[in-house]
Amino acid sequence: MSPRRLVALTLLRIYRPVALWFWVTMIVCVAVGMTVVSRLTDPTFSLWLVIAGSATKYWLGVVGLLLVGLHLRQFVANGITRHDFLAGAALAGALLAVLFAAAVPLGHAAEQLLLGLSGPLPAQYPTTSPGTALREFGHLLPAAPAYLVAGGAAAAGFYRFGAWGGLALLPIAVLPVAAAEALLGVDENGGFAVRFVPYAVAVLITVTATALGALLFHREVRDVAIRRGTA
Amino acid sequence: MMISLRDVTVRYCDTVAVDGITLDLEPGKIYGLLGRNGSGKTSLLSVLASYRRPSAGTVTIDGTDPFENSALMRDTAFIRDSLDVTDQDRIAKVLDVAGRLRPTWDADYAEHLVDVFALEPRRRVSALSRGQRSSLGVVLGLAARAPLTILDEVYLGMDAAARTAFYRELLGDYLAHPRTIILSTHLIEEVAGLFEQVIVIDRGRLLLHEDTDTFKARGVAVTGPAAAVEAFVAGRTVLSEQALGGVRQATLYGALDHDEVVRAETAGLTLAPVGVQDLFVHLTSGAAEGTPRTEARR
Amino acid sequence: MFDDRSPIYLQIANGIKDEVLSGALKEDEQIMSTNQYAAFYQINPATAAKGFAQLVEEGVLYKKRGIGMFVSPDARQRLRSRRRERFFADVVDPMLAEARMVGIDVDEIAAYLKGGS
Repeated sequence: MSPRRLVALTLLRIYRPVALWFWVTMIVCVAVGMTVVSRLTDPTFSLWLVIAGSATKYWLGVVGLLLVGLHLRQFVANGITRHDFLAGAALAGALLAVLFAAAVPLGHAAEQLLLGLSGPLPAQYPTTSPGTALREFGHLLPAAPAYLVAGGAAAAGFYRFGAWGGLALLPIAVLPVAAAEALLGVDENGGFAVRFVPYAVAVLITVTATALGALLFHREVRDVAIRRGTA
Repeated sequence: MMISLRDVTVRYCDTVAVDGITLDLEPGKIYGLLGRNGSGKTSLLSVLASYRRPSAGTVTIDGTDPFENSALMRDTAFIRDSLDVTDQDRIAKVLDVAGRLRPTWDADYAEHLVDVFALEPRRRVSALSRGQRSSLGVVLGLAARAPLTILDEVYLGMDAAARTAFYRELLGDYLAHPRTIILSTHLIEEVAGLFEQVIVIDRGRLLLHEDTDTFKARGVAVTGPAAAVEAFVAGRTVLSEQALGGVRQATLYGALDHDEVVRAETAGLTLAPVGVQDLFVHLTSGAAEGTPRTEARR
Repeated sequence: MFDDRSPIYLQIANGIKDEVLSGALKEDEQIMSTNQYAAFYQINPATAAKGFAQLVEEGVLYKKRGIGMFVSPDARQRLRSRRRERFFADVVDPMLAEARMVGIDVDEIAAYLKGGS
């Protein structure tokens, strides 16, 4: 097996229980929350979209941070080159992005189903359909890697250049997130909105910003000295 | 895995940790890297293990630069005292990840070592004592069976019993699976017998690199009446001197041949060997104490 | 096990010589391999190999390719005669020097020798 595939599989294995925990927690929170809300009033929003729509992205952003904070050292210490580590992380990240982006519309559908069990759906509840599901997926899919890359690039800046250097590079590192949020963000009702530019352009800009972030990430890591962790 | 370092320099901002070291290491031997704290040992080993690039100079393993070379990095295991593991992980998880990433990993041997050092696989790394962390480092270093295994002061915090177990396991596995092992240490006395060659560095420079036996024989302590000692040591490299009343003791650098031994004994002088630990201390503390005597430099 | 007085490989070589002289090691008997020596004394195998090489040079051991090291058929004889040659220089002369230093004369020594063993 090639080193990068090995890295990807190992990372996925490491994050499998963590991701499971994340989704279970979210499901429980939303289930409880939605139950409480629907007892009190007619929900005009989808709690799932509000929470999962954002949490997914932040979670992936944190994973990006951890790639540098935890795993770079761990993998190099086990004989993996920085390059293969980044390549493997990219593979794993891409898969996670797709899976997480798909989970949101699926969860939305499940939420709607469960709401519908206890009576007719509230009038203003954002219903889901194949079309809306695709839209939700289409919003999250470009945003997810943007967060992942931003997290990694930000952490790598601090790792390589220290506090001040990291801070100086931060604007570039978070560019992908800025683009994703500005153009493909979530509105006040938890709905997915495309702002300022048409969808295709928004995706293009976000992807370009992500690519730039990835380039920065790669440059910062490809020959970085592996520092000792806190002992 | 022929290792060659040419004029390797490692600089951190304005500090020079490694200053132009040129070294050739043949494969399959156990090397002892001796140096005081801050002598540049870890920086040198980091460069060898591709953990950092040298500021100047070249490193080659079998003629290739190992930095970011998949095959060579895969064949290298560098264990340093800070342990490059995730603190929140359990020992079992740490070993599992190592087993997945390292093709040469021996899981059964790792299990055996975990037993030897009385580690609990379910314990988290953060909950380990200093000595247990070191033991984990040894497990990671030895079970990896990497053709180039570098252990940087892994014994820190280990008690004498654990260290003995470590030396025993190290030697036993080396005999069964010969490979290049570089052990950096300053507990020289108890481990010198394991080294085929010693490399001594001081303040970033290479002091010497030779067979352990040659190194051990380099020190002679000459004791006797002050005048006789003075006469005998004239023109030789003296590492240190002590006086007590009319008696002087001089530690010489450089083995004496048979005739010189006879001459010394005839002059009423007593000769004694110098333990490697003392020899090392003398070799590396010269300028630091400002002794006016000739320093032992090559 | 080993002291600082001389290189370990020499101490190993001398140890084997003593065993040959005492008869613990018989002629044409195989000795432990370098790895066995290394594991037993917790030393580097190269050190043991150096000791063996020394003994091969001195004719005390010989090597059978692929099998190991064996004690030479005339090893005991050789060692004995060498030690005999050096007995007076290495053992008796120092004794006499010491005797002189403390004021014991040769007659006293002779009397002791005759009476003792």
